[in-house]
Amino acid sequence: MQELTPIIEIRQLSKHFNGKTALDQIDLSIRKGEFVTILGPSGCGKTTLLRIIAGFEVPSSGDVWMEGSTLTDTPPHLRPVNTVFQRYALFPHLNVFENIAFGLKIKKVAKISLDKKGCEHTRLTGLSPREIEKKVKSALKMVGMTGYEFRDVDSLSGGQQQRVAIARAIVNEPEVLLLDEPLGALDLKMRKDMQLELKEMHRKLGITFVYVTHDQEEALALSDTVVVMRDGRIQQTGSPIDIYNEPANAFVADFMGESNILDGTMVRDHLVRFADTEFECVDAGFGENTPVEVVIRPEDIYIFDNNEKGMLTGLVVSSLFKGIFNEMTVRVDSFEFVVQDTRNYEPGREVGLIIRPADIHVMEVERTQNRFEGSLIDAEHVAFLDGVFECTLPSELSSLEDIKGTPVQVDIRFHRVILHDNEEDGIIAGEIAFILYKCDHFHLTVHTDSGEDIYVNTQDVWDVGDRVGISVKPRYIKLSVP
Amino acid sequence: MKRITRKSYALPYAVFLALFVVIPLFLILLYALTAPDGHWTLQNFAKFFSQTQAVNTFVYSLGIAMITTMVCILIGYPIAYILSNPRYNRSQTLVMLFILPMWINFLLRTLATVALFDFLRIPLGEFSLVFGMVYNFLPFMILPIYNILQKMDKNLIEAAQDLGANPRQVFLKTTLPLSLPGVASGIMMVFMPTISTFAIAELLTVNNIKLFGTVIQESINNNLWNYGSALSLIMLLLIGATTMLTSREGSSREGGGLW
Repeated sequence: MQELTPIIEIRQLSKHFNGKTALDQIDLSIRKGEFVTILGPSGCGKTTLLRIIAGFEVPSSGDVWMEGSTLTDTPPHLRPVNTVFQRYALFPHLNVFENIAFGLKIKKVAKISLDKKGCEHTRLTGLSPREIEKKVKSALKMVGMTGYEFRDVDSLSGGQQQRVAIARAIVNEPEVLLLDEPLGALDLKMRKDMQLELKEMHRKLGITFVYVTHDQEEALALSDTVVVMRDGRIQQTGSPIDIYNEPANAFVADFMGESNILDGTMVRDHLVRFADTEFECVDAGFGENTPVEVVIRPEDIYIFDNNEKGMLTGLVVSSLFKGIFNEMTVRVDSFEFVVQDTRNYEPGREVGLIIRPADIHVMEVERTQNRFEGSLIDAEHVAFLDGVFECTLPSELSSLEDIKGTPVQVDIRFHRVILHDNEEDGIIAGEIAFILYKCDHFHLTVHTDSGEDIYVNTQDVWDVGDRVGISVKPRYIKLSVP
Repeated sequence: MKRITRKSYALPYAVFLALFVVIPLFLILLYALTAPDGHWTLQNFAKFFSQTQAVNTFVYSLGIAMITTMVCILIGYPIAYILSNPRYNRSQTLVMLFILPMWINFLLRTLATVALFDFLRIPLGEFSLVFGMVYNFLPFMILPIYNILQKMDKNLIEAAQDLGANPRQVFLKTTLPLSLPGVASGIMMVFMPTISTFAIAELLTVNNIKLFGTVIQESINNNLWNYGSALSLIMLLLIGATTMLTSREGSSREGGGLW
């Protein structure tokens, strides 16, 4: 029942709030009848994107197109979309029936009638009370709330309010239904039930669903297409299986569930090296000796009693019972692997690990070191990231006569950046924005106060949101002519 | 000796309530139902209802109070709406300015109004009376409406837009009905004092227009305590009825209070 024609096309869409970028050059095409989930952590811009489609926010630049015409100048009440709000937003002064009938009572439909001379007249009229009642009843039936027509919305449970909110939206027969974390306020059991019902509703209605959530399980379970967002940008668009099995980058891999992410090197086609070991893999086309990132899902690592067959041998550090499987942490030299298996190996046991070539997913790395634009202050100082750092000039630069203000390219290796507990101890300061565990170290993204990000590899444990001071030893600041 | 319990703390308030609320009310009831010589009678009420002039004053006061309340709603609602809308007003300063007159004693304000009308050579009369009352009581209408509009879930407005309501329909079908509890509190806060006021009427009409409050005050001044009490009781009943009418609307939704 899916058609290939796009119903919504988003082109070059950006949105800034008071100088902060919420959405950055978003391009997205949504097919008619599709169940699309926009997935991402809080603050990634997913709700803003939904609000722009609904018309509650005006984009700073770019356009939303619907069925071939731009929506930019269309106010929310004229858009053929309806929204299910995060906290329901049911009208407290109206009962269940009146809430659902709200849109129907406003709606004007074209009625064609013949006058005495036989000429056709098109008249805009409201729906008759009987039509409204019929539609409300069928919407209530759809969400399993028959018999609740005259209840006060305040007397309903969270799940019931959610159902009414969905009924209120679908009763208007929108072309596109927008859902803003509709299950966020429900408990786990209720959420699982509602997921199934939403999926069923989507099948029955045949309309396009655009669903916003931060819950990756929900996204995988419900969607035809998942759009993963981070910091106002789309990271990856694809089917749930693609997104899970072939994540485009470490962020997506990490966000889509428990995974082992490691730095590695593509030795040559079909051979990758990580954790000080070479593995056969199915990936090719990266070139020789190229730095890559490797993702292995915990359920794809085979664990067994240590014998000669293991590709890696290690020690079980911890084991957690998670219901249908045990989640074990296995230390292999300095690397920690998370392994899921139905069998349990007690902490302290020596085990062997095997990873099949098809289960090793190799990704291109986005960057191998920090690179900034800087400018020289004098022979011993360079300014970048709104800070002045000591440095030593390479010979190609020290021969310059007037070096003040000379633009330079600054390169710093990830593990050479030093973070300080006290902001004052660093040359510049920032806030830790994102942490990725790479089996033997943490890869941190730090938003510096200048607005640019600096990436740091460290063994130390930090928390997202920590304020830190940042410094770099002079000898590790590599300068070159850009 | 009896131990001091938590209940004991309520004692001063109980005494206060008894002395200044319950006993006076009881006295009003007693005086209203007795003749000057002390025997029970309904004569005071009969006197009021047989005097056309007294009934007329009562109806007239009611009319003035209703007009004042109406004008306060008509002026106050749009002001409250604008003040609560971040699109027009982002600061508390404007709200403050509208409440500022309340800092000044109302007698001073009213005397100033008289002086203003004199200066502009506008004759004191019905117009100046209503003007003075609206001027005095407008903040009491603005505040509860402003509060309820400000606390209103903005998602509801968006939900209404989303369901196809144009700006007019959003207002009529969502904002207005949701703000009615605030309007109800406002009506109470304005209607109650305007029906019983006499000082404003005295000053702003040079005692040419008598309101019901004035009649009560004159009766008490002329030692007609029983008659005056009967009139007070009638007024109390009226205010009680208004309170019940408006609070039924107000109590069904929270957040309609003055502050």
